[in-house]
Amino acid sequence: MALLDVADLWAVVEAPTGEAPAVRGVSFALAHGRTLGIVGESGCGKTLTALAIMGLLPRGVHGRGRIGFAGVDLLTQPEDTLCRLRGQRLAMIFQEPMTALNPLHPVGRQVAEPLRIHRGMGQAAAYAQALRLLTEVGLDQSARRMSQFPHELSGGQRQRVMIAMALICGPDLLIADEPTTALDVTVQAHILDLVRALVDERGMALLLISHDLGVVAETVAEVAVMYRGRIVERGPVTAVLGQPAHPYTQGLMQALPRLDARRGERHRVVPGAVPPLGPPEPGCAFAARCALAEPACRTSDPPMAPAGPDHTAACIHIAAARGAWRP
Amino acid sequence: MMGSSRGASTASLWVGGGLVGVVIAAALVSLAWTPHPPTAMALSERLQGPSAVHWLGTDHFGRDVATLLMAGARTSIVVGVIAVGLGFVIGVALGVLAAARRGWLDELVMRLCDITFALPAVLSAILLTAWLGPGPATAIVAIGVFNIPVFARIARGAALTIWPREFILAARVAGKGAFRITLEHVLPNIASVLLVQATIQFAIAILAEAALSYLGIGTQPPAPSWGRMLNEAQTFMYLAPGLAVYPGLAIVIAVLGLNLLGDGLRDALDPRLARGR
Repeated sequence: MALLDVADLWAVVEAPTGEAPAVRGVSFALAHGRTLGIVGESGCGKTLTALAIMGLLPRGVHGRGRIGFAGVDLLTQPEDTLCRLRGQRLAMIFQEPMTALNPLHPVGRQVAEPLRIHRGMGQAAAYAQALRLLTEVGLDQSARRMSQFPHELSGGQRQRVMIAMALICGPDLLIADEPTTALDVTVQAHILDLVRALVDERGMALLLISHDLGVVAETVAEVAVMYRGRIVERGPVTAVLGQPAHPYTQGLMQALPRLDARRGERHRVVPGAVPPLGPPEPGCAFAARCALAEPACRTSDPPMAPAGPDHTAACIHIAAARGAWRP
Repeated sequence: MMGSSRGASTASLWVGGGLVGVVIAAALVSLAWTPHPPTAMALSERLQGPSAVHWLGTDHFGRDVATLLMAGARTSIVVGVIAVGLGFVIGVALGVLAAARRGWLDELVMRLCDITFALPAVLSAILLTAWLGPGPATAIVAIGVFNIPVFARIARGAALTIWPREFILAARVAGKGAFRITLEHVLPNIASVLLVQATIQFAIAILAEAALSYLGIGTQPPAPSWGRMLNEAQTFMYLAPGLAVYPGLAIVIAVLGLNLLGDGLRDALDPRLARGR
């Protein structure tokens, strides 16, 4: 059985004008040792999906559906059960290591804290384990840094601290929400290598959330592409990014800046922008921005259709789209 | 520009600290020693001017004014500390609770604060006196109650700016409950704001204690109090103006000192300024 089994997850934002679904019927499963990436533009529901799994949806956002984790439905668990799971079996790292650490506490204390909360460990034992892990995640001079404050560390060092903090209790599932977006490219590569190595070594499941196709391609085995709260394409990362079947995924691929582009060649972007949240309308959510859209796209939402081995896409034009796509 | 404002804030920190230090020192010394016993009356020596024996002269009962000022400082500080402490503890607890829970509890706490604010403080103090009788305890309760909504609002407002911060989310991800987060993450991060407010509330409390004692609601004779001294000096304004000037000056020194200290602390503890250091 899968460790994480998300089935028909909705996240509905309460607004004065009515309810607006930000995540609309997302389903995926993730087993121990497997890695899944979720990509999409800002506002497509990636982060809300992650927060729903952690049971930390913001006020005014309601989760519906089912989030199975090790046999229980996280959406129906009371807060104290979730508190026990968080930090212990569910862990998450964030985009901004700058702001995700409490500026007033030394980093060693912050890394050791989950052990003291969940395992009831004494200070000395927890600190010793925190130091071992900080060394393992490659924080240089980790012994000295234990007593330093977040502002004394660089962005990359802080992200290593965050990773150590997330992993200290040996979680089953690690959610990484844009873990490298705020970092320099060189540091980014180190952190991604580290995450991948730790996931392999510990047999954790990894849910990587990113808008960066390069980061996803390097780090995970499977990928799901989200658009306006739905998964529009999913499959092995090589298939989805190598032969994208959904026009939106193709748009994302074409929008990547290329070093080998000829001078003066126009950078191709997905026309339009993600529409603002609102009540659901019939038809394919991407139809308004899609070059292949036809009347049928605007009447009913296309179901997921096979596009290759383990590869599916929610588009009625998969064959036509493939033909039209030029990398 | 930055340098001069920082210099000014350092100056207000030191001047304010100095003035407050003088008042506190006077109160502390009065515990062990005063020039004369605070309640010793000598009608033969009443309404004297300053002299070597009575530094600031004597009042209409022949009591030594310098002694009364020192002992009055004690009253002001005790009433102020207890009243502000009361308001601080209850107000901050309510404020951070409201910020952590939000929803109906938040509404309830804030509307109660509005109601307390809407009542004229002196009128409520007189009502309270009718119920509890005059005395320092009445003054403490009256001042303390009006400090609760001040601290509740400040604490709630400051806590609400901390809750959306990412390290709070990270703490929740680590499995911490709201109580623990409030204690370990919210309170330390709003402590400086609360400290500055407490200093300023302390100044207001000293003024309020003097006002209530002046009205006869607060400290009762023969216990010395600045407000009572002002009240009693009124009759002898033209005969011995010093009797009104000295306690008035004492109140000015204490209140000015606390306000300067509060201003200085605010700038010294402001993390946006501290970063540049």
